[in-house]
Order: sequence, then structure tokens, then C-alpha cells
Amino acid sequence: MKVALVNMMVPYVRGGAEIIAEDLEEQLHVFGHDARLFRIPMPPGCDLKMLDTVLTARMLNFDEYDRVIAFKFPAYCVRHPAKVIWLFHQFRQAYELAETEYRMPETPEVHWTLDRIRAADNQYISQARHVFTIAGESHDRLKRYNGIESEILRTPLKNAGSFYCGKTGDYIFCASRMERIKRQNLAVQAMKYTKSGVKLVIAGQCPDRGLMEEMRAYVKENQLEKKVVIRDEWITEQEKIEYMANSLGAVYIPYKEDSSGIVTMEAQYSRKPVITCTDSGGTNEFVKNCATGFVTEPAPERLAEAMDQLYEDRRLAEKMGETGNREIVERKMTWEHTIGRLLK
Amino acid sequence: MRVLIAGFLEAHQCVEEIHLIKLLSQELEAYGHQVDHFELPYKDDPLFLPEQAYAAKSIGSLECDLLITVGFPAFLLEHPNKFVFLCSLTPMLREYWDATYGGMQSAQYTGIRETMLALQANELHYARKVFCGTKALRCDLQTENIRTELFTLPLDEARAMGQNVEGDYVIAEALSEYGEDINSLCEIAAHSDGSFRVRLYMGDHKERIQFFRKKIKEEQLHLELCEGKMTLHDLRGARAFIDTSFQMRRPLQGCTDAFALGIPVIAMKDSGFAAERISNGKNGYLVHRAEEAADLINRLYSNPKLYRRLLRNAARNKQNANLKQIVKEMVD
Repeated sequence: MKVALVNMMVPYVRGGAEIIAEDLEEQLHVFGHDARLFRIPMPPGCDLKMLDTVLTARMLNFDEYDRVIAFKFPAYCVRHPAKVIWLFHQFRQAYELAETEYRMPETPEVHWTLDRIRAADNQYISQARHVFTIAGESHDRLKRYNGIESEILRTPLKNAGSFYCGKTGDYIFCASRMERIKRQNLAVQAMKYTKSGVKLVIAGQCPDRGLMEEMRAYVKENQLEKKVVIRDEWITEQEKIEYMANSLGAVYIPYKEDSSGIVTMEAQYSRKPVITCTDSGGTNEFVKNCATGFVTEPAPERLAEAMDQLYEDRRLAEKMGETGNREIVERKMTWEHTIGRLLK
Repeated sequence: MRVLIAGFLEAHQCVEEIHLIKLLSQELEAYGHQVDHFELPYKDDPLFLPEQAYAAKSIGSLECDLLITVGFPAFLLEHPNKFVFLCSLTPMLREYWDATYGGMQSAQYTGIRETMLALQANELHYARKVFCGTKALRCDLQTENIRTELFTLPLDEARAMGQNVEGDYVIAEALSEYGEDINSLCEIAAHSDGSFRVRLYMGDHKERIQFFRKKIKEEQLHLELCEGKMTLHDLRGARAFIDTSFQMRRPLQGCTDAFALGIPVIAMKDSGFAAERISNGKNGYLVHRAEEAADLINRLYSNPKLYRRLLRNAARNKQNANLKQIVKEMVD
């Protein structure tokens, strides 16, 4: 089958969604399909230009393809009789983020733009032959705000077999694109409140230079240089696997993330416990408090307590890691199943 | 420097654009620049050109220091520092306009043609430089007062490893809806003395494949039809690459690979790209008619000395790619 995958892109920014789309393209080839990934570039800010991207999507021609699979706004606005949406997330600033610190500036233009985006979602998502969502969070949002039903189809991890368990180290690890909504700064702040020798290693691309400066300034002001390592770059896959394998556990604390997060899955395949927060969204589908990790309030003090507990009780950390690994393996999230559902 | 490469890819024929995007990315990253790329679909049908042109224009300005566009209609993207690479434009509205399958046959296309040609001319004038894959395309744009330079695609080195094996077939590709004269290939096959067959790759044009399979059976031609694209392994097994294109503006990757691997290319004199690259008797032959091509191939099979000489000449006359030099000048 000729399959077009359609995603959006922000130049020079790369994260989990990009990796999953590329993995899907690769896996479709493995399963004998002719797949190609297309990406619609997004403008830098949220203004009327966002609506132009909807028009761009609508004007693109996918007639030569048997199936179109779209992932995000505005890619899922494209036209095709056999369009399937595997929803990673919508433009969340038009929905639950509108009432939070992550909202857009409140101007009449932004208001009108967000209104049009919601209308486009209602219309163009409904036109899909089938709608899948990657986790319960996005499934619930789609139902709550747009009245659209979807089937949860979780993302497999392409190189799950590469992750392994090394030694139980003394650091908590997180490799992810650094953004305010992913709240790596909260993990850094938590280190001030830790009482044990636990350390923190975070790695990833940080497009928001203000955020990076804040975190580095916090580390310096609180003399945390020996406890916090910030790798301000996209580390190699092998480095990430090694870091995870020899960590004490992982921390992944985004705000209402749509998916379980690649970090969560990588940790569980590495038999490591995961620390997440009560408002982290999709990660809570994978992390069970006191069983496969800790689910704390999104406060630095609470995070610090969880980190200390893992450091002081290594056997507990290892036991949680084993439980998490058993559970993720039992979920049988394979590409064969995923592709079968997307192309059915 | 932040560089963005934007490509539009036609579903059936985009090997050249994909190769170009990959090579440009590699060369620019080697210079230490931050490079990203995106690709969008393109359907080469005049009726759908205006909306696709609108899609490109509606993208608006892109946040990068240098924009490189590959393919049509990518050059419609706006940027003050834009370099354009063209493998082809819109054949149905241009070089094939008055052909039997051209756009001139339909009155509704005339308006579309005028609009698209005006749009193309306007945007190409604003580009810092425009690079074309063939001299024929350069000539087309020169008549519209657009200055261009030539780019030459190199062989994909990773694919070049291995040995040529002189098989019992000559090879050809017909991946687009038009442009390749398959009837000429049938004639060549019909004139085979039995020492060779023509192996033709037709992409995924199922109806055309069905039509020609029927013709081959009825006329008992020495022609083998294959779906999909030719691989390097297939090419290495061929004695020659045959090009029966008509005024092809696109720098065909299959043909480029044949030249680079030292496999002789036999092409019609009006084939376009292949005819530009052939030094007659050295890396290939130019012929007027299908019978001439068949006669030549029969002689290559019956005269090993002639074939060896052609192979030696083909190996000696490989044309060097100039992409590295182009990238160096772009970033300097």
C-alpha cells in the first residue's frame, strides 16, 4: 500500500512525536508498504498565520496515496478519502492550556484564531475514516472538547530490545526535549530539597534559551553543581541507553502530557522506576504509585522525597523497575499490531 | 547558519529530489551548519496546480538564514535568501504542451498555464540562484530571461559498491505518466535477434503495465515488464541502459547511475537529459530510430571486443558531480 504520513514540524526542533513518525515510516517499509513522511512547517507564533497552515494542509494533494495517516494539528486537516488520524495531540492552547500559565496572550486576534482552530478540529477530525489517540489523555480531551470518539492505540518503542538494565546508579535520569511544559526545571528545583546523595542528569535540546539560563542560574545559586548535570544537547541513542541502564530511576513530569512519554517506556524497558506527577497526564497510565514508581504532587519538595526514597532503598528501586518492566512487556505494544490497526 | 531545505515530491518520480535533499543536507552539515528539511506532496496534474501553488505560498516566511528549495513548486516559498534546485517544472504545460498528451489539448488548461508560467517567472527572478538538472531546462528558462546554472547529481556512493555483471538484458525505466516512449522500447524488443531482451521498470502505473503486458503477449516481444523501480543490482546486470524519453528535462537518476557505473547508455537523439550527457561512441550512443538502437544492441552482444571498448570508454568518461562546489559557493 502507498501510505502518506503527515506531521507538522517546527524547524530545528525534534522530539518524541518526530521520532515516532519516523519510526512508523521505517516500520511500514519493513512490512512491505511504500511509505513517505511529509511535514508541514509551522509559523513561529500563534497568530492568524496558524490558520494559513490549515489552508496549506487543505490544499495539498494526496491523491496518489492509498492511505493518509496524520498525527497533529494542522496535519490532520488534509483531504483524503482514506484519512486515518493517529492523534498525538491537538493545539492544546486552544483547549485545556487556555486557562493555565501555558496559554497564549489574550488578545482578540488570538481569541478568534483559537476559535477557528477549534472549528477546524471539529470539522476535519470528524472527516477521518478512523480516529486513534495515543493515550487516554488525548482520548478524553477529544471527547470532552470536540465530542469525537477515538480508539486508544499506544506507540510502540522501536528499539525496545536495545534497552537493558545495568547497575543501580546514584542519579535520576531524563532525556527529553526541554520545554517549560515538560517541567525539567521542576526536577532541577527538587534537587535543592533532597537530603540524600541522589543526583540528577537531564539531557535534551532546549529551544527556549531563557529556560536553560534559568535552570543553570538556579543550579549555581543553590550550589547544586555536584548534584545536577545538564546536557544541553540532543545526545546519541547509545548514550541515552547507557545513561538509562545505569540510573537509579527516571523522572518524567510534563504537564498533562498526551502520551505516556517515550521516557517512561524507555525507563520501564530498562527496568527502572519512574517518578511522575499527579497532573502529568498520559504517564499515569503507565506509572503506578509505589508499584512501578512514584506519582507525586507537582512540587519540588514532594519530588525530592521520592528521589531520596529511591536512593535510600535500592532494593525498592529495583523491585519497582522489575514490576514496571513486566507490565510494559505484558501490554504487547508491537509495530505489527499498530500498523495492522492503522491500515485496516 | 540555519539552513532549511524544502522539497516537493511527486509520488511516482522523486528519486532525484530525495537524493538531492539528502546530499545537500550532508554537505551543509559537513560545513557545520544547522540543517533541517521538510517535504510535501506534489501531483503533476495541471488541474491541481493552482491549489498546490497556493499551498506553497500560504506557508509564509520560514525561520532560517538560508532556504534551499528542491522540486516544483517548492520555489514558491518565500525567503530573501533562497537558492532553487529544479529537476523539472511542469512538463504538461511546457515541453509537452503541444504533444499528443499535452495540455494544449484542453482549453481549460490555457488559463492555468498562463497563471503558472507568470508565477514561476516571478518567483524564480527573486531567487539568489537557480540550478537546473539539464541544459534543456536551462534553455527553457533562458527564454524567460531567468539566469540559471547546471547541477550534476552524483552517484550514491553507498549504492555503487559491487561489480557489474553482463547479463542478457538491456534495461530501461518509464516511471512517469508521459515522457518515455514505451512504443520505441517495444520496437527495440521486436527487432532483437534473440540475444537480448529489454527489461523495463514501470513504477506502479498498474493500468499501463496491464496494457503493455497484453501487447507483449500478443506480439511475442522480447520485453520483460517489471513493477517498481530499478535497483542498482538490476542495473549492474544490464549490458546497456536504454533511454527513449522525449525531450526529458529531468536528470534521471537511473541514467545518472548508468553513467556513473560505466554502463553504456543508448538514447534517442531527442531524449533530452541522456542526449546531453552522451559522448557518442564513448559513454554511449545516440540513435535516430528504434531499429538503429536494436541493431546496435545486437552488435554489442555479437561483438565482445566492441562491447569491451565501449565499457572502457564509458568508465573513462564518467562526468563529475558539481554539488560539493555548489554548496561551497552557497555558504561562502
